[in-house]
Order: sequence, then structure tokens, then C-alpha cells
Amino acid sequence: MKKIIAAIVLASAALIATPAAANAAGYVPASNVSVSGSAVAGGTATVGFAAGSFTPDETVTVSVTGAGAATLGALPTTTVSKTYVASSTGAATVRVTLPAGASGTYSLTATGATSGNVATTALTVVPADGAAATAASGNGTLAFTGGTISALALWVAGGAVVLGGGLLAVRTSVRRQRTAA
Amino acid sequence: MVILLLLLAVAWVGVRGIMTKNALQESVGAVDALKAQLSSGDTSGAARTASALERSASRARSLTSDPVWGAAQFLPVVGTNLSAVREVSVIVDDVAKDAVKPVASVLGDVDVHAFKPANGKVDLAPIVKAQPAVSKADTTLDAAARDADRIDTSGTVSPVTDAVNQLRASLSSVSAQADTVNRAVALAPSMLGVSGAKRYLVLFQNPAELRAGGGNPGAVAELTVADGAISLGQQASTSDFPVADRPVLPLSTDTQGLYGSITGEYMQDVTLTPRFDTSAQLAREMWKQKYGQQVDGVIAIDPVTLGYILGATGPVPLATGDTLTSDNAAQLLLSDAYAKYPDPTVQDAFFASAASAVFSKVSEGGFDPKAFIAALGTGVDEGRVHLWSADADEQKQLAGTAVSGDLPTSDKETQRFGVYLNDATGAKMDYYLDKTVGLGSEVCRKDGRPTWVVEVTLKNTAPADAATSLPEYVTGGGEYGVTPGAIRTNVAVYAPTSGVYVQASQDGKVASPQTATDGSYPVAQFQTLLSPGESTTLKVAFLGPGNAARTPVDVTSTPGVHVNDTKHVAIGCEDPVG
Repeated sequence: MKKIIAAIVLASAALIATPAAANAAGYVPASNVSVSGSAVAGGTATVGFAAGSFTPDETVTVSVTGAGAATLGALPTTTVSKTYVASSTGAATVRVTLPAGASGTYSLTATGATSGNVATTALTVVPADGAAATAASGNGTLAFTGGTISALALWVAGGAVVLGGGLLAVRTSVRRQRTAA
Repeated sequence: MVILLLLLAVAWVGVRGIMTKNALQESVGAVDALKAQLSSGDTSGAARTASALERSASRARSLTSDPVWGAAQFLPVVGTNLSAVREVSVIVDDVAKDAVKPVASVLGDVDVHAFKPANGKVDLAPIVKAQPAVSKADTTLDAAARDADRIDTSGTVSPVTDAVNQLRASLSSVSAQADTVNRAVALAPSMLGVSGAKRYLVLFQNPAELRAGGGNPGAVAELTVADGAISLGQQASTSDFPVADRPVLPLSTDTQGLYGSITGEYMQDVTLTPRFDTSAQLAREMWKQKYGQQVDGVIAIDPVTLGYILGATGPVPLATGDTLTSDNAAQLLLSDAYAKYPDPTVQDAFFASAASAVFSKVSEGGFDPKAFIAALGTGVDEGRVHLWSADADEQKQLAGTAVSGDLPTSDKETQRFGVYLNDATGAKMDYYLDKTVGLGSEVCRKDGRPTWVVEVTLKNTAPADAATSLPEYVTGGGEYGVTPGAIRTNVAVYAPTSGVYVQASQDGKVASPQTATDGSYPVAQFQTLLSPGESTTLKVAFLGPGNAARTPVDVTSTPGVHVNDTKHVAIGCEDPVG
């Protein structure tokens, strides 16, 4: 343990003494995908890949995987792909129109043919408000309404309450043991 | 005649009820004594008291297990109460006999002081010896928790119901703790090299340059542990590692899409993903490619935890005239040192002197083991300490514990979210990044599904003249396109796997974050840019499943330099992210 501490401190030295900027450019993470528009059935979402996402003018293959033309129940997953060309700044914009019966998650992956850069997004269709469960507002618990409780039940209950307190104490002692262990 | 018999039976059960109550009260007394003895270190007394507890608990059990009591359990109203009390007695007896007693008996061996290394070595024998008792206690408590959950309280009077609920809550918490202890006791000997030396890679994460997993792992060291003896081996800074032109291990498409392939190319970036198992495997592979050594596990720790540990060692005077204390460690190591010692060579000398000073303090036995473990515990609780093992069996034990660095797992008790920050400035400005995370849950829909809102407020607390008053090394000097003094941050918000992304806002305006998935987790990732003094608030709404409408929510987030409490977010249904 002593040496761990020493190691920590020693390494803290290295940690601070190493300028991040001294490393090759590009270790800093980007955030280059934005999604606007609505992920609803029949809706169109716009997926933007910011400048630098791809190399200028490279071919970008975009594929979207998700449930196809939807009606009800489990749907076969289908994949659609299309090829785009990145802009002179390496940006791209993709408009995704979801099927009229869209449901679940549509995963989009854009891959630069030259750079190999991968950008992803997922569009999940928000389920329509089912409005089904309004009847469940009542209290389902059957209340105990007996007027007289036998003295016996009270003793028993008293014992159980004391026990509950005892268990809390046991809990504390076990925690101590845990510290010890 | 029937009435007489009934009266007799009532009297019998009543008398035994009182006796049961007395026996249970005795158990409480024994537990109190046990507490006192354990805190004063009277382990032999604790073992005796554990025996007494075993006797009284066993008496309560036998008092409630005779045929008359058994028959009375079938009476209406009273019966359910009687059987509940009987079940409580049985559970307490099981816990006393198979959990408290065996663990108390090995207490003398597994004292907290046993973890204080003597001559650079932790004695593993007592831990090995404690394994069967702890394992039995774990199994017993787990079964007790399940038994308590099964007690029928549908017709019990409220004092009994309350007691049973208290029992359930206690047992569920104790069994979780016992599970952790059991894992620790099962893992410690093998991970500390009881059957052959183990090598670990230690990542020192710098939270002044945030990574989802903690901070830029700017420095790396190898530790060897053989039969409890720890030695420090090769050390390296991240600049020693070559930059791979493709990830050293294949990355999942989700990891690439959210964090970029740099996650697998730069040692500084392996903790861009909040999945520590991924980070650990990448770091291990990079280490292997550089030094040819395949390590057995990876540990991550940060200077804030070091500060907590200094609380156990006390202040450490340095040759430079500085004094390293638990209060100033983070500030000195993550901020002041840059300004004070702008020359990296001098910084090296400064930290080397700090290292040797702390080392001699510790080797003189200058630390309190209880406080030391507590300090480490605080670091763990705050998500600053992670551990991964290359051994599949060991990793299985680690999974789900506070050190594993897994994505948050939701269950029926809590729906868990994650907020992960990555620095996109390419600097050490996050010492000046203040973060407040909030979370709320509200049912806004007719179908009863909850709307969850995660709120993240970031503030750049750097001085207005940061561009000129802070060292270029701290501001980044604009090298990656960020004006010196400003902080650029990527913020990834993870919802439970059952969640669906709905909408997001930044400072009240509609935002267009990257919506994505990481495995089965829905994620919304933003990028913020803050000038000194500026702050921004992000809000993300997710839709949860109907069965989680009343489930409490919790959020974990990347531990920064400073610790902030989570706040509750009130949700307005007409505009959840407004």
C-alpha cells in the first residue's frame, strides 16, 4: 500500500509534466453529429455531420437499420444504404424519413470510404401515448378495518417491532465487521 | 369445552408470545453489546456475545415453532400475524447462527490492522482463513433477504407490517454489504498474488482534463504484487506511447461513433468511454505493445483520492517548503503546480520530492489503517477508483461492484442514469469547470409512462483574464481551436436501457444533440463551449416504461475535481425540457 501511494505521487509528477499538446494533434475528442427534426413515424430527422467528420469530398456510405414498413407485432429488421459525398470541409447532411408505421430504434452508421471514420446516431421512435392505464388510479390495497385486535396480536407485534430495531443494530454490527474484514 | 380449550390455547400462545418478545429483546441487547465490543476491538467478547445472540434467537425460534402456535397461525386475523412473527424469528435465528456467529469467530484474525502492510507486505493468511465464514454469512444473508421478502403481510397489523418491512430493508442492505465483503475476501488473496505474482497497470487519471472514466490517464505505472508484497516497476507518461494509426483492439461501432477511434489509439483517450472494462483492455494492450508485458489487471485512481489518503497519513512537508495535505493536494497537484513550477523539469523534481516525502511518511507506519481504508472507500464511492482483472473469474466477482466502472445498471428499486464528461479543449482547464447534475421523474402521459429529465449545468469558473493569467499549458494555448480561457466539453447523457430519447434543450432553446446508443443504452451527447464566467444548462428528456413510473431515479457522473450534490429537477409536463 505504501508503494501504491508512492507510485501515485510519482506518477502524479509524470501526469502533470506531460503536456497533452506535445502529442500529435487529434487526441482531442470531437462531437460532430447533431440530430434535429423528429423521430416519429412518418417524420423526417436531419442528421448533420460537422466539418472534419470526414476527409474533404470523400465518399460516405450511410446505412440505417430498423423496423421496415410497420403494421403490428414483430417486424423484420431492414437495412437501407446510400452513398453520399462529403463536402469540401468533410461535412455531410443526411435526411432520414422514417416509415409511416415506424417503431423502435433506427441505427445510422456513416463510414468514410477513404478515412475509415465512423459516425453513428440512433433515432428511436417515441411511442404514442396509449392512454390505456387511467383505470388503475384506485388503491389496490385492502385496508384492515377490524375494530378489536387481540392483546396477543399486540404482544406479538410489539416483539416484532423490537426485533426490527434489533435488526437495525445487527446491520450496523455487520457493517463494522465489513470494515474489519 | 371447546371454549376452554381455545382459552387455554390463547393463553399458551400469549405466554409464548411474551417469551418470544423477551427472547427477541435479549437478542437486541446482545446486538447492542456486540456493537460496543466490536467498536472497542474486544473481539473475544464479541465472539461470546455472538454465541449469546445465537442462543436467544434460537429460543425465539423454538418458542414460535410448537404445534399450538403452528395451529393458531391458521386463525383469521391473528393467524397471519403469528406466522409473520414466526417467520421473523426463524430469519433472525438463521442470521445469528449462520452469519453473525461465524464471522464474529474470525474477527480476531481479520482485524483492520491486518491490512496495514508490515515490511511492505500484507499478510494474506487471515484473509484466506476468513473466506469460508464470510462466504457462509453471505449465502445466509442472501437467503434471509429472500425469505423476508416472502413473508405474507397482506393481513398483518401495522406494527407487524412495519417490523417486517424494517427487516426487509435491513436485510436487503446487509446482504448487499455482505456480498461486497464476500467478493473482496474472495478476490483479495488471488489478486494480491497468494498463488503467484500478479502484475497491474495503474492509470493515474487527471480530472483537470476530464475523461468519462475520470480524467486523462496522463501517467501509467506497473505494480507487481507477490504474496501480499507490493513493488513498483516500470513507469511511463503517456507521451512515451506511440500513437497507433488504428485502434489497438477492435472498438465497437457505438464506441467509435460516440467517442471516436482515438479511444483505441491514444493512451490519453482510453477512458473517453465510461466502460472501464473497455478502457482497461485498451490500456493493457498499449502497454503490451510498448513494453512486451501482458498485465493481469488494470487499476485507475486520481489525485483527489490521493488527497483523501493524505487525510489518513496527515500533512506531508515537502523539500520545496510546500506542505501536502488532504485539503490542498488536489489544488497543489492539479492547479498550483503549473503556475508555481512552469518548467516541466522542475515540476518533475517537485513531484519526485512529494513522492518520496509521502513514501517515507507511510513507511514509518505513519498512517491510520481505518482512516486509510475509509479514504479509499470515499474515492471508490465517488467513482474515482476502478479495478479490472484479465482473469475471467475474478472479473465476474468485480462486475457490479463500485470499483468495476460499469455503465449504471437499473433495477426495480432504482432507475440509474449516467452523465459523462470528456474534455474537448485539449488542456487542463477542468480544474475550473463546475458541474451540477440534476434528475427528475414525473408521469405526464395518460398511459402512465414516466418522463425522466436529466439536467446538467456547467460553469467555467476561470478568472476573466484566464487567457493571460493562467499558464499556456493549462489553457491549451488555442492549439485545438479553443480560445485560451474557454472550456470545450463533450457531455454524454446515458438513460436506463428501457428509456427512449424524447427531446433536449440548451438554456431553454431546442438542442440537437447526437442521439445514439451505447450497447443497449440510449445516449444523448452534446458539446458545450464556455468562456470564463459563462455557464450553460442542458436538459434531456427520456420516456421510461410504465412499470418504472414510481421507481426512484439516481444518476452517477464523471467525478470532477470538485464534488457537487445531485439536485432534484421539477418537471413541467407541458414542456419537460423548458
